[in-house]
Formats: sequence, C-alpha cells, structure tokens
Amino acid sequence: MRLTIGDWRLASMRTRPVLALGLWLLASALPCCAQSFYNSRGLGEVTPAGEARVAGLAEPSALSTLNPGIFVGLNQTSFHVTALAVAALGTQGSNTRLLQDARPGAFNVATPLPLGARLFGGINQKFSQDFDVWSESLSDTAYRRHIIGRGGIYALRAGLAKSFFNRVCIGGEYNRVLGGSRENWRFEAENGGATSTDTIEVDYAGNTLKLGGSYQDRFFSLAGYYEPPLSLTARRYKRVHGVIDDTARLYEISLPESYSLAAAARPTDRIGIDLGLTVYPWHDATITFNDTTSSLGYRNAWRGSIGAEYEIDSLHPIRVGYSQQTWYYNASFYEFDTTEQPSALVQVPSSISERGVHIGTSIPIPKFGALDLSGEILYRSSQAPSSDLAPAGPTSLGEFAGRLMLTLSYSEAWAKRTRRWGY
Amino acid sequence: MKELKSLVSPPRIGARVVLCLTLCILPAAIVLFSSSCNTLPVGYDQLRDRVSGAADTTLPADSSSSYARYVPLGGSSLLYLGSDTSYVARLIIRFSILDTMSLDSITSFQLVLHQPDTARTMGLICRPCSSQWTESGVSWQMADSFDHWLTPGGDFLSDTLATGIMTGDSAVFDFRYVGLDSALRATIRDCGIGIFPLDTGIVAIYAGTGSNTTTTAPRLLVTYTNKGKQTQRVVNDASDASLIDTVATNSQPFDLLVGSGVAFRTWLTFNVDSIPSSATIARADLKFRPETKYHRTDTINLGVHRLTDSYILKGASARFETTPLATASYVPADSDSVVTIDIRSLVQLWTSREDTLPNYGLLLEAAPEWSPLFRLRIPRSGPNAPRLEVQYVLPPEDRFR
Repeated sequence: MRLTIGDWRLASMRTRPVLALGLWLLASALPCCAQSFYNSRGLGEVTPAGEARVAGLAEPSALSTLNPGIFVGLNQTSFHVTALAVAALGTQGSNTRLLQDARPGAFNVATPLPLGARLFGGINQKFSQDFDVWSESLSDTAYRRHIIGRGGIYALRAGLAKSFFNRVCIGGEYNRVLGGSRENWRFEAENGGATSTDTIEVDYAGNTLKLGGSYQDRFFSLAGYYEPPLSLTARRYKRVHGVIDDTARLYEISLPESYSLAAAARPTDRIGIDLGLTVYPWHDATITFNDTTSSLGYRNAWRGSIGAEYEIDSLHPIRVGYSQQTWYYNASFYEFDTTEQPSALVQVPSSISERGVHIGTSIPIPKFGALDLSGEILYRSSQAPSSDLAPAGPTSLGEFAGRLMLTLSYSEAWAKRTRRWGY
Repeated sequence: MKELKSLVSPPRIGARVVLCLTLCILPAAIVLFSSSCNTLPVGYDQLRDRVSGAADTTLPADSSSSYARYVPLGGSSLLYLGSDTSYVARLIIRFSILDTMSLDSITSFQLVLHQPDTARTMGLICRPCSSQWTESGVSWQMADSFDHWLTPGGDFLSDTLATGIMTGDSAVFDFRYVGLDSALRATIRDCGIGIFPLDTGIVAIYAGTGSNTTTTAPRLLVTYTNKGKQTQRVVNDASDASLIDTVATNSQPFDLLVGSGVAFRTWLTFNVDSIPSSATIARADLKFRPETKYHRTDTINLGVHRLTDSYILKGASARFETTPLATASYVPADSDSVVTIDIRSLVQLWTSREDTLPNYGLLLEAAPEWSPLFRLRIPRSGPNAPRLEVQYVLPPEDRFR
C-alpha cells in the first residue's frame, strides 16, 4: 500500500491534538537544573510574558495578555497554558557550564461578558531566581560551595476590561504578587566528602494594580500598559546547619513603576510588523530593614523589540524577531586594590546587556485552538570596565540562553486571531 | 494534475514550512537539554559579596592530662611474651580440648607456636591457669570485665606443663596432659594455660584471631594410634590474650603519653568559644610532634575519641565514644613527621551543637589499644605541643542587604 501525502495529512490532522499535548508534556517534564547565572542577584531575571505567540515576535509585552487592555476582539472564552524550557550556557574565563530548566510558564484565561466587557485572569512568573553555581576550588581551601537557588516571584492576576467599537479596549487588573525562593548553600569538603548546608528562604508578598489599553484595527494597532510602584514584603529565614540561626528578617522592597508600549502594522493580509518597548526606571528602588531605607543599587533598564509575522497560508504563520535590553541590576566582578596592605578585594559593578533572536510558529489543532511554538536564542553579557587594578579572576561573564516555549491555546477562533494583534 | 496542484497549494506549503520549523526547534532543544552539567565555577563572582571570607585560627590545648589503663588485649593478632626495661608480658591460651577425648591411645601431646620474627629466641614455660577468664575482658588485672585476678598478672598453678625455647618460625613443645589427674585436666580445659618467659627480651607470637586461625595460630598436636596407624589431630586454640604490665614509663609524672599494651591515653581540651556557632568548619586539624619512647612497629596508629563525660569531674572514669572519630598514622623513624588528625566533624559538633553535645574534650589513644606495643610522649608546651588549627567559614549573607 502506498501512502499519499493526503493520507499523511489526514492522519496528522487526527493526531495533532495528541501530538500537541505530548509536546507540551515533554517540555514540562524536562529535568530541572537552573536558569541563569545572573539570577543570584537582584530579584532575578524578569520572566518573559509566557505566550509562545508573542515570544516568537520578540516579546512585545504590551501585545500580550500581560496588558489588561489587549482584549479587543475576544468573542469567546479562551485559555492559554504555557510550558517554558530554558538552557543557559555560561562562559567565564576558560570555564563553560550548561544549566537547564523546565517548568510551567503561565496560565491565562479570558471570557467575554455582556456590553463588551471582559473578565480575565491568570498566573505568571514575574521574576525568576533559579540558579546553580559552584565556587572555585582554591589550593588553600579544602572545600567548595555549591549554591542552588530555586523559586521566583509570581503574579496571580484578575481583571476587567471594556471593549469599545470593536477597536479600543481599556482594562485594569489586580495582581496579588507572591512567591518564594530557597537557596541551599551546600558546603562540601573535598577530602572526606563531608557536607553541611546553610539555607536561606525568602517569602515574598505584595499587591499591585495594572492599567492598560489598546487600539486595534485591521492595519494598525497600538497598545500599552502602566504598572504602578510595587511594594513587596520579603520575609527571610536562615537555617545554618539545619538549625534556624536567627529570627526572621522582614524587608520592605519598593520597586518604581514600569511602562510598556507596542505598535503593530499589517500592511498586507499576510505580513505583520511590531515594535515593542518596555521601560523599568528602577534606579530609585529601595529596601527598608529595621526602619532604615537604602538603595538597592538597581539601574534604569529598558527592553526593545522588533518582530514580524508572515502567514504562509491562513493556518500557518511564521514569526521572527529581534530584541535588545539591559537588565535592571548589575553583575559584579572583583579586583585587587594593592594600595592597601594587605590588598583589598574591590567589587566592580557592571551592567548586563541582552540581545536575542526569536522565531515561532503555530500548529493549528482543529476544533480546539493551536499549539504555539517559539524558540529563542539570547546572548547576555557583562564586562568589567577597564581599570588600573589587577583583576581578581575573570572580568566578564557571558551566557547563551536558549528558550523553548510551548503554548496550548484553546480558541476556536484561532484563524481569526491571526488577523489581529492580541485577541 | 489535481494531485500535483494539491502539492503546491498554499496550505500544503505552509504545513511543510511549519513542520520544518518545528523539527528545527525541537531537536535543538533536546540536544541542549540532554547535555550534562559540570561543576566549573561559572557565575560565582555574582555571589562572592554574600560570602564571608574564611578565617583561620590556631588554638593551643586548654587542658591536658594523661592516664594509664590495663585494657583487654584479646583482640590482638600478636601475643607478647618476655620482659624488657619497659614491659613484662605473658600470655594465656585456652584450647578446645574435649573432655570426652580418649587418652589411652595417645602417643604424644604437643604445643605448637609460631612467631613472625624468626631471628628471636625465647625460653618459656607453661603452667595451668587456675581461674576462668574471657578473651574480651582479660587484662593484667582483670580475669574478665567484672572479676579481678587473685594475683595481678593472672592466677596460675605451679605445675609445669611444657618448657623449651621458642626459636625459628615455629616451635613444638611436649605438653603434659595425658599423665595429669582428671581434676587438673579439667582445669586446663576450663581455664587454659599460661606461658611465661624465661629470658629477657620480648617476642611476638601469632595469635589465633584474624587471619591466623589455621596456619600459625597456637594449637595442640595430638598423635594417637588408630587401628594400628599413627594419626594426628589438631586442637585449635579457643581464645588467647597477652597479659602485659609496664615496668617503667621512662617519662616524667606530668608527661602526656599515648601507648598500646598497657594503654596510655591523653586527654585534651580546646576552647573553641572564639569560633561562632554558625560557622561551618572547613578544616580542623589536631597537630603535634610526639617523641617516641618505645615501639615495636614501623607505623603507629592513633585514634581520637569524643568524650561524653567531663574528665574534670570523673577523671580516668570519664566515658568516651568507643569508635574513634578520626585516626592517623605516625612513622617513628621519621623524626620530623608531625601527627595530623582531621577532627573537623568533632569541632563542628562542639561549635554548632554546644547545648546538646558539650565540649568535654577529646581522648587520644592507640588505635587499637591492642596494636603492637608502642609508647609516645607528647610535649605539653612548645612548638611540638598539641594545637588545633581551624579554618572556618561564616554563613552567607542575605540576598538583600
């Protein structure tokens, strides 16, 4: 019997839902290790929006469900479940190390209400604090440290939006910000394999609002949202050798506001282009402990993106994008200050920059929706500024990160959705 | 024609492109995720400001003392016989002689002993032991864990069972057993025999423990006539031990001594209060340079035990953990060698669990105490005195400071 392409197509159409679910489960079940070598600082990496469709367009977050005013054309209930897998290849000096991470990325649901109103909600990660780092092995020390950080800060979101004239939408959402991180500082004596572990746990809690809006028509879309300052309570517990060392500490972290804007154009039926800009003016971020407020030393950061979508046919779009950003906190390097005796170790802060290329596509699932798929290659780097002091180790840290995002979207109107940005 | 058209139609091309894209992304992701992690220090600089540096400290012994103790030597692989300026040693052996053994056809009854040092000679005499004893509890003063000998050094009858000279790698002695009265034979079966030196100097004789149970262990060789043929039967030793006493320690009253045979133990305490309880002990080495006063082995093994009672309150009766916490070897021929014993885990317990595991100090002793005879003197003061070299690391700082 000879199989024709038509047979294959028919068979693949029937098995696509199973295939899509299988791929999503595979991504969710990949082994967990760590995400970024920079995540040990600040509040961690700002996590992407959690939608493979937007990630393929270089993640203009104002065009994603992170914007409460994006729901212009929502005509039926839909949800998105995303799995995110990340591999980071770090390079410092002559050393290279690969880390991996896979986990659920986000869940979003939205439903239309009468009179153009929309009710929506979801959960997504705002900051990731996953990392896995080994200390160096020095001749005068008979031990190494292995520090494993796990956790992050999440937003549990619920909001309302109102669509006007099927072109404009404004919305607001309440975010319950919560999460936690656990750092295990494993101490390993190299001669006898003796180990002990110091653990630092931090629980985060906070509340914030977000306001957003968008204008969308057949040829042009404009979207943006505003996130007011976030006051975050961080409660820290420390266990030394398995015993609580001191009482819990309470920190109050104040993050300034952030903005995101995006514009999209669709000059033809098959081609779409988008631009995105997100600004984090967080230089004035502060932390308060014991009634003493001090600066967190963050930077004003931004993220810009440009993306394009080409619809080969009405069912099969391909997406490409390029993004560039600076991170809101510094990397650190060290130099010897020989003017002091004995020579002192001086910390040298350095900005972290990131560039990325993004591709994506969608696999339609009849009578269900689509499996959106995106792959991203990001390069992050930081370089200590040149100085007269002698470096105390490598003066740069580079990281190639590969991100695979799979979003299972339920919406029977998936074909229409490609005509618009957002919903 | 229709089929060809369907192949190049837009939906078919789109599906192929999407399929290709998917097949590009997924294998790349699988290759990345299947790679294993190494442990190179990439990214550690980002955490260095949260790590408190390591601190080093050297602590002299806060208190020290030494005492001697007669200890059971039944576990040793060597038995000692003889006397010199430092020790006097005899040995006791019990054989598994059946009380039902027929003596009528026995033509000879012989004691066989083996020694590792074939160049040594020693005259010896065997006598019946008159008190029962246990291998695990017998010492110069004790017949077992609870009962003392009537006479220190063992209770023996005056009858001579065998006499001769131990020479070469083994020696055979005619052993009086057949001609003895039944009561004395029963005493020998129950209590064994004692072997006493007749010359000065000390020889080592293989014991019946460990790997020497068959070839070199002490045994009785019984020859008897069976159906007109000369037949030999071996009676193995059931238990044996050395009884050792010290004649002179050749040391000052306040010297710190460590030794085997007659066990010398040294108690040391170190004040670790200067080390924060939250510190992780990276290294804790007990170091000293001993002076060898006596040794019959090329390598001396020392062990450290954690005291569970206060030595100040209970003295030599203070209990300690029987299993050594750490051990180290010392070569007497190398006069420059410093004994270094890793007691990191013990110092970690002292500093981090002071409330439940008080610092009563440590006990330094031979490992094991029935090992070949040696005695070391440890200086109380000076550069060779015991010292504790500690390197510790404080816990990490918070993410936010």
